[in-house]
Amino acid sequence: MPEEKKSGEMELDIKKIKIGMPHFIAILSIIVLAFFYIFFGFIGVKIILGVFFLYFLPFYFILGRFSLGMDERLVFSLFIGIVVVPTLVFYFGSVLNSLRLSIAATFVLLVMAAVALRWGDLTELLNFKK
Amino acid sequence: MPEEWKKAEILALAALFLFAVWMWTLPIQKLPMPYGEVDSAHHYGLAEYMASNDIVTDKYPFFMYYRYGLDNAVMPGHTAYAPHFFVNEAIAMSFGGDEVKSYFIFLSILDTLIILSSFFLIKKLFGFWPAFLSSLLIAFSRIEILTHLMGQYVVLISFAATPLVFYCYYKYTESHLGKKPRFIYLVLMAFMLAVQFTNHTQAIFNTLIVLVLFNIFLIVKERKLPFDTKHALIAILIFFIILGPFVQKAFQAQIQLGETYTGPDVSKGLGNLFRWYGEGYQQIAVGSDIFSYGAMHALWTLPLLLLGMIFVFIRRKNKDLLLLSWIVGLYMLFHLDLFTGGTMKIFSASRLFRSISDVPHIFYPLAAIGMLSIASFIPLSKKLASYAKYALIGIFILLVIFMTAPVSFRMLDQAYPIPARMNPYQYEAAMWMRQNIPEETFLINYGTLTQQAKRFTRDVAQRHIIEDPDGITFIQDTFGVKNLTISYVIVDYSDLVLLSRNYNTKPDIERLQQFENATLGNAQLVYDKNYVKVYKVA
Repeated sequence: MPEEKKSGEMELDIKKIKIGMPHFIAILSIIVLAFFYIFFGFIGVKIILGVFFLYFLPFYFILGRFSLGMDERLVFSLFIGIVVVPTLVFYFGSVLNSLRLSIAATFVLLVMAAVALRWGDLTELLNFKK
Repeated sequence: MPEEWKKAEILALAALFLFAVWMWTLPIQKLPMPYGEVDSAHHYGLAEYMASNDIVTDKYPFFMYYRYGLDNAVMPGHTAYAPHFFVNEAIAMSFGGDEVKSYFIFLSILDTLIILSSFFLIKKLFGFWPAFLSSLLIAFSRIEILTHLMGQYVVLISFAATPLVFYCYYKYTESHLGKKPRFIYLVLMAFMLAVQFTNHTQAIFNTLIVLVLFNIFLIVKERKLPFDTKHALIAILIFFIILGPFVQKAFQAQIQLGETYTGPDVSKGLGNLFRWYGEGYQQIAVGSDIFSYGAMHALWTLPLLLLGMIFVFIRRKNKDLLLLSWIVGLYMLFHLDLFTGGTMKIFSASRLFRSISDVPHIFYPLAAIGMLSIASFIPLSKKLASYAKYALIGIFILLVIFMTAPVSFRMLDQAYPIPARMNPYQYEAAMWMRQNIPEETFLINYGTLTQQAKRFTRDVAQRHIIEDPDGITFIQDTFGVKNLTISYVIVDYSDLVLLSRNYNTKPDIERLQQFENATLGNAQLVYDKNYVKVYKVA
């Protein structure tokens, strides 16, 4: 009997496990990636990762400069990407004469803009400032 | 205002969005060949031209010039609209690799973005359940599925930004009326308007009418201007800076389209005031079903829509006024021709018809609010009211699943069987033509059964394939090409052979063989594979 009680104490109580928002988002991201892989293969995964890194992430960081809610940043980042990314790619394209190079140049420019706008937050995060 | 997001709510939204992407990609999952009506081949063709040639352009290549080259009155040979949609799709094709799948997967993501934007607006203003129920209906919206299938993708993307424009303006006016104006929302609104403008200008008309009405309602209610004029002017300036040179081109192209339009006006008689759509629309639409409430929205939503309208009209909070402005604005837009006395051709049926895609975005939130408002019309204890609310939610979901979803699902599941879209044999032949036939060459197609397959063959091949002998006259008359030389002739048996499994196509195959023998006996056969032949004739 004591052994049973002991093993009972070691059982995992699912109800007591709390998943924080970062972990929740990470799990959700894995589900989304799995969804695109299952139904569309690597093509789907590449597209969704491309959308995430080019259309979403830079603008999410840039919008962090302003006092907006996380939900607002999430939604507006994606929609801003839909108009800003092709605009920049188009302008770069007329100079570089290459779609792929223009995509790369746009990504670099957006990352630079995000870093410039959030430099203070980044240095604080990395503890550069004492 | 309900602002908190629970994890279960995020999960529900993610599940709904992924389900919609899966369902809206059914046509390409079943057969990975491009599909769509009329100009959808043009959208696909220009994006693929950029991706496969590693260039970025808004200039029509040879194979498109003699079809669309004069659509832009200001800059002939260039696209009539801003190039953003094509560039976005070309980027997706670069990422994904497989052009057809990449194009349609990304397209489905873009076309279903309305689920996210509508959910966001309604959740922030009215809470989770109205947002979830209305977005569930939007996922099965037959008007939008038809638009998605037929190829007016740009309209869907443009209208997907509409709820976000309204959200920004609502938040700004609330902050301004609360004496703490938050200009950032007007900046975001300028970006959302740019999303609308660069994809399809039609949504801008809708948005502006709704915003004017919303301002009027707020001025009457609050007895002061709901915005700062300086803020508004700066936001307009930002909008024009984002658009840059594209704004002038797009406006000019719109005016050109309005001036050259010769179809019917929307409505003349005052009786049309009592109809949601005027009479003129019936003459231009591809099918009258699109104007039928029952066929497009399912009749069970009608009483809920009316109830929702009554509820927001009685309550008249600012957020209710926003929804009222939206539905009244849309009604006014559908009757603009009547209100302007038919003097402005840009407001004629062919233009205003595009706004039909915006109808579900206001009908469905109102229907969801109407459903949930039922409990508030009956005096119940707090506990009973809570039970009633969940019972109503359950009934709504069941009605969507059993009354709306099956038809919508079938529309996608059974869309574009061969020969309504390209078959793999035609695709393979088109790719061969792209690699082996000089770019500035005219070809003519015999045997491909449908306009859709012919146009996609042209755009996959990236060679100007004339659909039929009338096409030669069109190019000669419209573009003044006097000496048009057909260099290659396609004789395509593949549709007829594939159809022969279910139908007797033998007489048609024999007729095509007779034509081939009689006219191409001395021509050089350069491609002969999978029932598709290409002859060099000049």
